[in-house]
Amino acid sequence: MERAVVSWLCSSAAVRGRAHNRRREPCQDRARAIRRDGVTAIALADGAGSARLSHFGAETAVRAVLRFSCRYFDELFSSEPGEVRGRVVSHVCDALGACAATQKASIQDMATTLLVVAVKGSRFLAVHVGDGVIACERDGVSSVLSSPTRGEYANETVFITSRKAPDALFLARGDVRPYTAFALMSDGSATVLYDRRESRIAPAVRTIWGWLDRNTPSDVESALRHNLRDLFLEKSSDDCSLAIMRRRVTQIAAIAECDLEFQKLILGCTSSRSVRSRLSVLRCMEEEDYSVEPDALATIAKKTGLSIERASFHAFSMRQMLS
Amino acid sequence: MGDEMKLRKEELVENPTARVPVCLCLDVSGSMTGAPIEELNQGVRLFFESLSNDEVAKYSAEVAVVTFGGFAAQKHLDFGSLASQTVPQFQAGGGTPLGAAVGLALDMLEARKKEYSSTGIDYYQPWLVLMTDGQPTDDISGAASRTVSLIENRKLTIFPIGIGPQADMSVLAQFSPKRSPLRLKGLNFREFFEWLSKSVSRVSQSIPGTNVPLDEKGIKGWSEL
Repeated sequence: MERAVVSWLCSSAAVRGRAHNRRREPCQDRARAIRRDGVTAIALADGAGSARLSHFGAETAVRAVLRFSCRYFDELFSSEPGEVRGRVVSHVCDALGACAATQKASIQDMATTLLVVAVKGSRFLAVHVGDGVIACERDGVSSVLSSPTRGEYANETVFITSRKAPDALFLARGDVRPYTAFALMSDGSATVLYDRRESRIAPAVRTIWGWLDRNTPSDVESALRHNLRDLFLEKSSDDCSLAIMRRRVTQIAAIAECDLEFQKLILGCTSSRSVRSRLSVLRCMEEEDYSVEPDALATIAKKTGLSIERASFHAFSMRQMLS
Repeated sequence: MGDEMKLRKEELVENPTARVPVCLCLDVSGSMTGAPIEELNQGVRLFFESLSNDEVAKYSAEVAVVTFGGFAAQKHLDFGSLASQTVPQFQAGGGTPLGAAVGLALDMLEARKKEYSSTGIDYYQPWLVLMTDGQPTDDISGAASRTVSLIENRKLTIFPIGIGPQADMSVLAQFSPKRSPLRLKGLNFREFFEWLSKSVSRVSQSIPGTNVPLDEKGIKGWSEL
C-alpha cells in the first residue's frame, strides 16, 4: 500500500486596528505558530483593551501556551478535563505573573483572551478562553468548533486571568483525521469572518485555507497581513488577527519532486541535511513495511549510514506523520 | 502579492453593529413652560443631529424618549434607527409623574434588550437619562428601587440631571446609588446633549474588555459644581 506523509502547514498575522492607531497604542493581538516535539500548534491572544499592558500579556500567553501544549501534549490529551483546564490556566497565568513582575505591574494588567489548536499524529486538542472563534473544516465542511464567550454586553468577555477562566475554558480533544483545517480568529477578525446570528463561518476562511495548498506559509502570512489591513480594518476598528493551519497529504513518491522549502515543511525539518536523512529513512521504512521494531531500525540505520539513534529518531517522527 | 491571495468583500459576512440603547426620560411639566422647554427641544434636536453625523454612532445609537407632564408618562418616541426617526418636539404642561415615567422607560429598555437578544444583535449597557426641574407628583419608590437594583447589578447606567433651582436633587439621588445627580448650569441643554452624544459615540467605538470612562472634564461645560 502506498503511504503518504501528513503534515500541517501554518500561517498567522496580526494588525493594529483603527482605534489603537488613532491613540498610538500598540496592537494588542498576537498570533503565532510552532512546530516542536512532533506537535504542530497555532495560538492567538487578544489583549484586553482595559488592561494597560495587555500587548505584553498577549505575547506572553501565546508563547507560554505554545510551548506548554507541545511539551505536555500527551498529558493534556489524556488527563481529566478539569485537570487540563486548571493546568493550562495556571501555566499561562504563571508566565503572565512573571512578566507582570518584570514590568512592576499586576497580572490583571496583562489580561488577554487565548485560543489554541495543537495536533500530534492523529490527535488534536483545542483550548479557548474568551471571545474570538475557532473554526474548523471537518469532512470538507467548514464550521465553528468554539464560539465566543461573551458577557451580556458587547464589551464584556472572559480573560485567562479572570477568576472564572478555568470554568469558562472551552476544551476539545479527539481524532484529528476527519479534520482538514483549523483557524483561530480574534474578535476583530470575527466581525467579518463569523456570522454571529447564524453561527456560520464566512466563505473567506475556506479561501484562506486553500492558499496554504498552493503557497508557502511565509507568502500566506504576507497575504494575510495585507488582507487584514486592507479589508478587515475597513469593517472593524479593533485589532485583527488570524492563525490558520491546513492539513497537507503528500504521497511519499511525490516528496522528492517538491522544492527544498516544501520538503522541509512537509517533513518537519529545518535543514537540507535533515531533509536528506528523512527521505532516506522513509525509503528504507517502505522496504521494512514501516516497522519500527529493533531489527527494522538496525536495518534502516545500516542502509542509510545514520547512527541507530538518528535513524530511530527519524523513523519514529515519520511514523507519526504517515497516513 | 498577486490577486490570487486577495479576498473579495463578498466572501466576508456582515454582522449588525452593536447597539447603545439610550432612553431619555424628560420632564415636560407645566413648570418647564417658556425658555426651559424651548432649550430642551433645541438640545434634543442637537443630540439627534450630532449622533446622526457620527460615522459609528449613527448606526449604533438607538434613542427612545419618555416624557412626563400632564397626568401620565408618555412614550414619545420608541427605539429605532436614527435614520428612521423624527426628532421629537415637546410642549410643557401638567404635573410631574416621574415615577411612572421611569417605570415606563425601564420597561422599554428591557423590551429592547430582549429584541436585540432574539435577533442576535450585540448591545452595550443601556443608558437612562433622567431630567426634571421639580418634585414628582406620583410615588417614585417602586421605580427608584427597580433602578437601583439594575445599577447595582451593572444592568443600567443612569444620568440624573436637575434643571434649575427647584429641582429636588434628593429625589434624583434615590435613582442613582453610584453617581450623584448633577444640576444643569442655567439652561445649558445644548452643552449637555452635545456631551451626551460624544459619550454615546465613545461607547459605540469601544472594543471588548474596555471600560469607557466618562468625559469628566466635559461635564463642567454643562453642570454646576
